[in-house]
Amino acid sequence: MIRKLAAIHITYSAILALVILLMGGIVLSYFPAHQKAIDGLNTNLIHQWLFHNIFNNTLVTAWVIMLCLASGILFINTLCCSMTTLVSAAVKHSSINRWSFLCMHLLFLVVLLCHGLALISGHKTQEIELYPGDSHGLINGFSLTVDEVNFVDDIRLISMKMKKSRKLMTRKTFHADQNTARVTLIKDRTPIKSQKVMMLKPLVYDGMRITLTRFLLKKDTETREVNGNTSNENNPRLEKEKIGAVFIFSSNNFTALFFIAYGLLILTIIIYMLMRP
Amino acid sequence: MIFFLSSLYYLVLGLFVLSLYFVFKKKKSILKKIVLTCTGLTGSGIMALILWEHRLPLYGAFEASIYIIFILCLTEILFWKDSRDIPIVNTCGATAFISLFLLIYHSAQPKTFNPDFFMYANPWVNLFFNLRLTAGALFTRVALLYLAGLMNENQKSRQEILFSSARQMLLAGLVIFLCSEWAGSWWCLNWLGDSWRWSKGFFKAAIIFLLVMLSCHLPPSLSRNSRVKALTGSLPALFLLWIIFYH
Repeated sequence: MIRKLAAIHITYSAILALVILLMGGIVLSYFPAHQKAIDGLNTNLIHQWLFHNIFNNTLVTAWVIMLCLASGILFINTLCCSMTTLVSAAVKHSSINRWSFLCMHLLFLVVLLCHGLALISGHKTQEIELYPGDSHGLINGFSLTVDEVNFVDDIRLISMKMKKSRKLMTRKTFHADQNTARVTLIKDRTPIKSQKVMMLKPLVYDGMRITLTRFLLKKDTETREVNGNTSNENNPRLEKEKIGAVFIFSSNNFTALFFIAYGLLILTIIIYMLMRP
Repeated sequence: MIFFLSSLYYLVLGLFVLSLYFVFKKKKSILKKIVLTCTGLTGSGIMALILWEHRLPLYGAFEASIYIIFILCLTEILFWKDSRDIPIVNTCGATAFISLFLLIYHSAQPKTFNPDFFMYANPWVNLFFNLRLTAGALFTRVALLYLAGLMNENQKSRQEILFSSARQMLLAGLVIFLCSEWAGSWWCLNWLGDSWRWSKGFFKAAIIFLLVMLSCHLPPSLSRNSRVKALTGSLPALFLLWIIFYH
């Protein structure tokens, strides 16, 4: 049975099926309704997503299930192949080449497993919009407070549409390392960690990540009394701009393992490549 | 700078057109000189980009084409060292043909570097895009070697050397591609809080990896057929070039 599951025909078919399914995913992404459903997978755990989408978008649900099945078959096939053919080949004719070949497959399994586990575990909240002084509750009694937001560049970069700002946000006009938000991670009213976060430099604590994705602009209007007169003409409405930031909160215990296994996988391929007869 | 880049483009284009003539004339030594000159010219373009823009070649029709041609020419030169019984005219000709195709296909595009973006200051962004281009060039070299192998169908020993070189290059391309993806995952983690996203870009990247795996896991019935082997081995190049120029 294990020998049958380890067959190269299954490997080939599973890989081919995955290629076709992923191409299908690219096609589905061109339809806004399907794209929205696929986007939902980035913010939900897969079982929660399936529960919500099974009747709303049957096509994307079927696609996700088939993708998971094909990945599962490839995982089992690689595991069986490694445990039978590759282990015995490495033991019988021991060489760096054969051991690196076996390790390469085992590390691929770890990477695939980390991907799978990331789909069913962890936590993620997107689009947390906060202004200085605001707080947001996270998980396990943690909360996030924004102490201050510091934006040194032209604020028009924040208010314009993404496509336009993308062109104008050059290294000269947008200083990613100077536009910051000071945030504090609090657990049960006790500050745990306070740090300046900036785009591409998140706050990391115990597997949790607070990532700053973009800045926000809010126009606060307030009425000022001029010379005791409250008529509309003499009461100019002052528009004060308030800058906030958008955060993503994510927590995944397998991220470190994923990066280590991925790095080692690359290393074993290099060793295998160099040792190939 | 625009004058320099336009001159560079037309000079390299002219040299590759000229090389096709020498391919038909089978003038090996002149072809080698043309490839060497093109390597120097495209290399100078890349140096100009690094000095002018303070970043590596990333993407955009012009800089991607120039960089891919540079890597293609470089791998061609490295190939001469190992080859004894290899049809250099064939491989030089194929390199010139692919380079010419890239240059002509993007002839309408502006001969300038890609516009600046604040994220280009980040090393992971540089590594992700640059290594992806490098992998694209290496996979293109794989396709080119398979093509040269098919052209030598009657001389099995030559074909074997070409196919073996193609497989070695495929593994090198895979290593570079995975390094790019590793850097990209790190960038994504710091940017969006996740190392992997359900999006078109990630599906495409996964397809590239799977296409390389497909080529390495052909069942015996298929791997005996040199055409199937060559076609499957060329798929990563075709798909990655499509991503680079149409993403």
